[in-house]
Amino acid sequence: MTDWKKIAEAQGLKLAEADLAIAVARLGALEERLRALLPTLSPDEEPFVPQASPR
Amino acid sequence: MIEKLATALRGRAVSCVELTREALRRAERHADVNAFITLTADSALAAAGRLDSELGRGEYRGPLHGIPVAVKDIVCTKGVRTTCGSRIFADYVPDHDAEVVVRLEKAGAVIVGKTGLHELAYGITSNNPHFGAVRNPWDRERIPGGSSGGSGAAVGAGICAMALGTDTGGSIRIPASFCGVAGFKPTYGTVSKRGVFPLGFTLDHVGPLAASVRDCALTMTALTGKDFSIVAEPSIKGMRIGRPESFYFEKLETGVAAALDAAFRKAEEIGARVVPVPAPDMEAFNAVALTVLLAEAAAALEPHRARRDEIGPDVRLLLDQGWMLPASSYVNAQRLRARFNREFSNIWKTCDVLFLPATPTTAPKIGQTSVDIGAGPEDVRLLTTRCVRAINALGWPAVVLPCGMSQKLPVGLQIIGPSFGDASMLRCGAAMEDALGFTSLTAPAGS
Repeated sequence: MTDWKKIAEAQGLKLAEADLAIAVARLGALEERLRALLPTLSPDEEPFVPQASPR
Repeated sequence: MIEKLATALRGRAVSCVELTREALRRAERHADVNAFITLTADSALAAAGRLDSELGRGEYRGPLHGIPVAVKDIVCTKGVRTTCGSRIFADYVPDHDAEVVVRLEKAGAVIVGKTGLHELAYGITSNNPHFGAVRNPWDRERIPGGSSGGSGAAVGAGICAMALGTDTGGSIRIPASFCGVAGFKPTYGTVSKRGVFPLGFTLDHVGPLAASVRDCALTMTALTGKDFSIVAEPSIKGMRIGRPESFYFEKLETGVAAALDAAFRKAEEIGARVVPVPAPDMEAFNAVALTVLLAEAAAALEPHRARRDEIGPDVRLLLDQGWMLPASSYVNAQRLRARFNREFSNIWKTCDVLFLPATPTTAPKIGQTSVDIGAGPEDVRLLTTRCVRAINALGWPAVVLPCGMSQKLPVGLQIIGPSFGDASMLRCGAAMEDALGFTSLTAPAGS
C-alpha cells in the first residue's frame, strides 16, 4: 500500500494529524477500489479523451 | 417565467428598468439568504435603460431581452470582481467577459449580480468561510447545495428568473434539487467554458438554474445559438424511461423515494413506459470520477499552491489529496472512465432517458456533516454527490426539476439523456414539469 504520509511530506504539504488521517483514509479507499479494477484493464484500453469545448 | 416576463416587456406592461429594480429590491429583501457576493446595481440599471430604449425603437433581441439574471462568481465579468468564492481571488477584476456572459448580454439579459458559491466551486454546501454561508430560501438553517448555491438560492427566492451555474460533480443539479428550481447540465462541450475558472478540466460544465425547464431551454438557446425551444404541449407518449435496478434507488430518504415513485407513476399516466435497466458498478465509477476530479482540481490550483493556507479547511484537504495522488492513478482512472462510458452507453439500446434521484435527501442543515437515512451515518458530501458525480464523467446531459416535497423541503427529479440529446431531454423535462405541476416552485422567502 502507498505510504501517503511520505508522499505528503515529499510534496511539502504540512497537514495537521487529523487532516492527514482523513486524507490517508480517503486516498486509501480510492486506491483500493482502483487497484481492484486494474487487472481487468487491457493494454489496448486508452484514457478517456473528452471532445473539445467550444471557445 | 421568462416567457411571461418577456410578454409583459414586449407589451410595455413593464419596463426593463422596473424589472431590474424589482430584482435588486428582492435581493435586498432576502439579503439574509446571502445569495450574492456582488450586486451590480449601477451597471444593471444602465443596461436595462439601454434595453428599454431599444424596445422603444422596436428593436427586440429575443426572450431574454430585459430579463434580470445572475452569474455564478466563478464566471469572469469584465470590470466586476470575480472572486471564485476564495480569498485568493477576492480582489481579482477580470479585463474580459466569459463567452457565456457575452452571449447572455447579446441576448439582452441584464446581469444583476454575481452569486455566492462553495469556495473555488469545490464542494456541495456553499458554506463559504470567506463570504459567509449561502442559505436555503426554504429554510435559512439549511444549505442551498453547491457549489452553485447562490444561483440556486437566487432563483429559489424569486430574485431572478435564471442564474448561471457550473457543474463538475453535481454543482448545478444539487442546488437545483435543494432549492426547488430547475437546473440543466448540458452535454459536455455544448456550452463554452472560456472565461470560466476551471475546477475539473474534463468534468466542468456551464449551464442554467432557472424557475422552470422552459427557462433553462430559453437560456440554452442564448448560450449556444442553437434552437432549444419547447413546444406548447410537449409529450413523452411512447418514451421509454429507464429505472436503474441497482445503486440509485438504494439509499434514499423516505420522502424522496415517495416523490420519485409518484414521478414515475405520473410519467406512465401521460403515456411513457418505465423499463428496468442495469447499472454498472456505480460505486467504482464514482471512485474513478472522484480520482479524476482530485487530480484535475489539484492541477488547476497548482499556480496558487503557495497560498494554500488561505484556502478553507475542507477545500484545502481535497486539494491536498489531489497533490498527493500519483500521476498513474489519474491516467488509469481515465482509462477506466473510457470503459465505464462504453459500458453504460449500452443502456440507450433499451431506454430513451433515465429517471434518477437528484439527491438522496432534501437539504441538510448548515454544518451538518453526516446524515442517517436508516443504515447508519453517511458523509453528507459523499451521499449528496452519489447520484450526480458519475454523470459528469460521462458528459451526458442532465436536467433536475422539482417533483415533490418532503417535510416542507423540495425534492428533485434528475432526468438523464444520451450525449447531444439535450433538446429532447429538455422537452421530456418540460412535459414532466407540466404533469407534476411544480413549475415556478417559489420558496416562502420569495413570496
